[in-house]
Amino acid sequence: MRFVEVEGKSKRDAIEKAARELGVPVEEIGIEILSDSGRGFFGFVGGKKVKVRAWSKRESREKLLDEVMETEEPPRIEQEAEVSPDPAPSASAARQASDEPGEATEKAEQAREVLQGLVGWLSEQATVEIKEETSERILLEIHGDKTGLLIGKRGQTLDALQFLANKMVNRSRDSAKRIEVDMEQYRKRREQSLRSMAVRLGQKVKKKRKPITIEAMNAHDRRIVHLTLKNDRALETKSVGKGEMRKLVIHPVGGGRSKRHEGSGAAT
Amino acid sequence: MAESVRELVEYLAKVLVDHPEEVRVTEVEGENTSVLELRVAKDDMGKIIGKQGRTAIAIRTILNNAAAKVRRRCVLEIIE
Repeated sequence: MRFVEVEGKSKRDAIEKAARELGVPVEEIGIEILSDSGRGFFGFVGGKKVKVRAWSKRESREKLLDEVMETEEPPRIEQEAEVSPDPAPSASAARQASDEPGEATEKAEQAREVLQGLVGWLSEQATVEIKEETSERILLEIHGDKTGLLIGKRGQTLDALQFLANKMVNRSRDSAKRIEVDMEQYRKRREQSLRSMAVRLGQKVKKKRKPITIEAMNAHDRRIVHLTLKNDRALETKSVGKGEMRKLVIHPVGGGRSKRHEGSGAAT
Repeated sequence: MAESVRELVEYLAKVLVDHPEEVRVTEVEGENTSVLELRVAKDDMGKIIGKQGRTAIAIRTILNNAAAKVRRRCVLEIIE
C-alpha cells in the first residue's frame, strides 16, 4: 500500500491534497492524523496546520462493502476521511432493498435508458437498474466498476447524473417523477456521515456557546443537517446567503448558562 | 471509448433543448485540451445553462469525467 504524508491548512485541505497526490477521489482514501492543532473541526470550520498520512482504500472499501451486503453487520473503520461515508446500511435500507421491485412503468424504463446512455460514456461495464418506483419517484441504481469515478468527489458526478437524468426525462411538468440515482448505497452512507457530523458540531456549539458555520454543502446536504438538529431545543439552524455561497449556521439557543444540554438531544 | 466527447455533448444538448436540429458542436483540439463549442438556438440557451448555471455545471462535470477517461482535458463553451 502506498502512503503519502501531506500538510494542509485544515483537515479537509490536507485530505484533498492527499487525494490529489494519490490520484483517487477523496472518498477513496483512508487517513491517519499525524498532527492536529486540535482546533479544526472537519476542516469546514477553521483550524490550523494539520498533517495527515493517507492511503488509497479503494480495494479494501469494495471488499468491505461486499461483506456489509452479505452479513449486514456494520463494521467500523478506525479512521475515515470526513467525507468518506460510513459503510453501514441501516435497517431501513436493508428493508428497502428487499422490497419487491414492482411493475416498472414506461417512464421508469425511459429513465433507466437515459441514465444508461449517460453512464455508458464514463464506463463500459456499468449498468443501470430500476430499484424502486413509487408514485412520485423513481430510484435508479448504478452497478459496475469505476465506483469512485461515477460517484465523484462528494457525490458530484452522481448528482450531475441525477440532475441531467431528471432534466432529460421530465421534460413535461404534468408527468414529472423525481429521479434519484444511487450507487453502492452512497446516498445512505453520505446521509449518515452528515448526520453524525451535524450531531458532533451541534455538541460543540452547545459547549462553546458560539455559532458554527458550515460551508460547501448543497441543498440536500443542508436539509439533512437541518432535520438532524431540528428536535434539539438548545440549537437553531439557519441557512444564509444565496446560490453557491449559501451556508448553514448552527446557533446556540437561550442564554441560560446553567442550562447546558451537552451531548443530549440531537435527533439521530 | 468508442464515442468521442464531442458526441457526448451533442447527445446531451439534443435531448435538453427544444430545437435539436439547431444544435452544433465543434471541437477545437489542442495538445492536451479540447475546446468544445456548443451552439444552440437562442431560445434554448436557458435550457442548456439552467437555473444558476446548474445544467451547464452538470454537463461539464460529466464531460470532464468522460474526458479524463481518454486522458484529455475539455472545456465547454456555450455560444449563442
